[in-house]
Amino acid sequence: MVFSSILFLFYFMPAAFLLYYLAPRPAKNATLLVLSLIFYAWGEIRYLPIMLASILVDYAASNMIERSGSHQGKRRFWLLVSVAFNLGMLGFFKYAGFFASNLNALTGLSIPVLSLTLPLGISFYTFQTMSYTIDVYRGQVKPEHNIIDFGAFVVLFPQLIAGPIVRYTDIRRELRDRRMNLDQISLGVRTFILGLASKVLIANNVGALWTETEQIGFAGLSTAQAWLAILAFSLQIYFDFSGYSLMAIGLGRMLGFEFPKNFDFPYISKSMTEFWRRWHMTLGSWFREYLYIPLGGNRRGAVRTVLNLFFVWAATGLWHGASWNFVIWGLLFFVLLMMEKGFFKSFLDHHPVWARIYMVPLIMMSWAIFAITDFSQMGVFFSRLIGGYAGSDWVYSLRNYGVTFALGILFSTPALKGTLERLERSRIASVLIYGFLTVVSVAYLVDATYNPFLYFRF
Amino acid sequence: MKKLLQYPVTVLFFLFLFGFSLTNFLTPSKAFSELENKYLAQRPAFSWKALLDSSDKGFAQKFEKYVNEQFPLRDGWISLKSRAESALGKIENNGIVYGRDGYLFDKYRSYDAGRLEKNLGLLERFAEKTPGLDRTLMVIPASYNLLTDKLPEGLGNIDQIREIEAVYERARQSGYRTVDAAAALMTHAREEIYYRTDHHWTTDGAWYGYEAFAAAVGRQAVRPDSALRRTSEGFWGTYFSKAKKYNAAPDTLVWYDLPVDSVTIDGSDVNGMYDLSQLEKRDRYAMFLHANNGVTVLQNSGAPEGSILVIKDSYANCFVPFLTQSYSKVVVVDLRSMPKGLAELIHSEKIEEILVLYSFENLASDSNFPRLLY
Repeated sequence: MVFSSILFLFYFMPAAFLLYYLAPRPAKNATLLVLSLIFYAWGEIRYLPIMLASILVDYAASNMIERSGSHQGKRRFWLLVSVAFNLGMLGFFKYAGFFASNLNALTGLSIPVLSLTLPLGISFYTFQTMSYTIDVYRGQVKPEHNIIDFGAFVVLFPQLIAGPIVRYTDIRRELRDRRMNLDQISLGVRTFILGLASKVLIANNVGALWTETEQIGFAGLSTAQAWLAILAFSLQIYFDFSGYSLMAIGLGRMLGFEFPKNFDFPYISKSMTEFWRRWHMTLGSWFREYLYIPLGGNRRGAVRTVLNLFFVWAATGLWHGASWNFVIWGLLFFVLLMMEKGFFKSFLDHHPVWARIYMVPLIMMSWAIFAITDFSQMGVFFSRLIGGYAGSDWVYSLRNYGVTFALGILFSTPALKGTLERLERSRIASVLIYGFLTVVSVAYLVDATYNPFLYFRF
Repeated sequence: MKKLLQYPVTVLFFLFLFGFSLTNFLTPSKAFSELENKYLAQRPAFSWKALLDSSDKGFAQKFEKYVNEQFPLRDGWISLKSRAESALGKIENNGIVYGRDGYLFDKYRSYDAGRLEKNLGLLERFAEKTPGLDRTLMVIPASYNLLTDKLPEGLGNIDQIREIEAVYERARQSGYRTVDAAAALMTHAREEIYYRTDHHWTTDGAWYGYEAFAAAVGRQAVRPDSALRRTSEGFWGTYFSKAKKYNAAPDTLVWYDLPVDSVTIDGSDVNGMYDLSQLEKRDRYAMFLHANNGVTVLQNSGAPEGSILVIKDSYANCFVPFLTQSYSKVVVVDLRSMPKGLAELIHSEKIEEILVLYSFENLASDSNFPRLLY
């Protein structure tokens, strides 16, 4: 089930919150577990056993690590069980087809290429549970003994399908004992509405232009139209992804959880280094914590640091989808970040105008690499992007999407943040703003012709 | 209670969710949407097998569709979205483009070239199977191709007139006569040849098509007496049903009360060429030839001798009445409603001429062309 649907808003949400709020305190996690499993299984009931297996394996492994006491060999064995299970699932469902087809191309073999529907949110919850067993192994956290509490952590429906990547340590205390008050619930409701509006009113609205452009084909685009199309995708991916995160954070608050922030106006960044501190923050910190630092981080000399970074960025790219364009996308950031590390960053920090001239086109071009999986198509698109082709197709696009573009650009900066916060102090103003956003979002959901779920590759 | 009042957004939000979900449960399902001119999804039957099916035939997807289409005040939400789109400066909604003077147009940026190729191949094989018959192909472009001065700049739609020329080129090689309907319509582009809210040509547009057809086959085009002209105001067409533009104006439907001896549809007699009861309903265009039926036979002893088979889509429905004044027998076949028996029909009805009449968009998308050979 996805958040931005009539089904979620008017069936699942009222029922779930009614049951959850009415459930006595000791039964709240059990209620949450059952609700989350229903949420997960809706439409893809075949994958429910995978989720249950995931809960059981990580529960068992983490508790066995604790029981192994100081016996390093055993502890390592159970850690390996968990990591192998999680990476194995991810590998099987997400990467098996990719590796098989590459291997076939390299060796001339013909291993059958599986194409499986990716279980919803698998890249998110395998990362969450892996971080948990690694933390237990490192002794940073005690394992969860109550399987219901643990299960509730793993399938917690708000962050299950599209992040943020919530680590066990983030919500451990709240899992046991959380207080819900109206302040928090009301903050949650408002955060949820902002997320819903980001997704439905901005992302879906501009995203249609990119999807149409893809359908027509890139060969006849004018250069202006190519830039408008990639601007549309840049705004779509940001408002879609950050919208989902906001909805998750909002729902979390309504349930009594405080999830970590995931996006912090990434498009105002003055360098790529800064961009990745503001974009999908929980993923960046996951890779730093559980890949970069275990590889040795920057403590093993310059060559090793570069190698580690290369590996982390290739993995970050590949995490976004089983296709080479994502690897290249990740490695582009490796190159840019290395350049910035070397000499560029201090220049950018001191020259905000140059920083924008560098960042804005480059971020947009990086999204072109992200969005186009076929390399020959990508070549065509880039040739249109830089070729200076004339045409009148952009006139229609600009006229049709101009206002939405302007709103998208405006809201990707914190320009109105202060005004909004001030307005929210007035009850009437906040009822008007949030009421307007909710009602218009619902109208777009009822008459939805374009409401994609972008994370089916993740 | 007093405390709750301090959180009006939260209270109203939950009231809104609960209010609509309760209303949804308590109100009976609607069968048909007048605004959208379509049947609405009903509550799907539950079965364990359907629950396990994750395709669009499974329970989950059907249930979501049902929930969306039966949402309380659906028409109001649709109109709100249409207003919001206009407020955002959008000049389209749901794939329908807003042109000048109240014209709505199709956004037609790509088509299935493979399907068109397949259909042309089937037309060639149909020609081989019908030797000795006089065959004509007539393909009608959509309104946006002719009413170019009403289009927004840079729309980038497919140039159907050019595509039709390429189609004609091939069809002539396999023995079809082709009729340049686009050129005939072009000379009258300033008149009301297409509806504003519907994808069809108007009865006037069809008249110019008929004139061009008659000239091509060498028959007399019989101009109907203007005293026979009938009109019906307030026609909302298919483009409107998709776009649901809140400030659109309806069209006027025109037909001529032309004389015919008899009309039979799939073997049973019906009263005349027009189903006037459709004028009370939303889909008024369906009054022409009683909408799309398998086999319609129209006899007119007052017309010159001759029998013609029309294989067609709905564009022909307002065209055929003119044809009945030039042929004593017109047999109309809609492949979408006639699974097989075409060869036998040609034989038993003693067909001498064949007219294949399609809009370009249907020619490039209809999957029923294999039925030409059965």
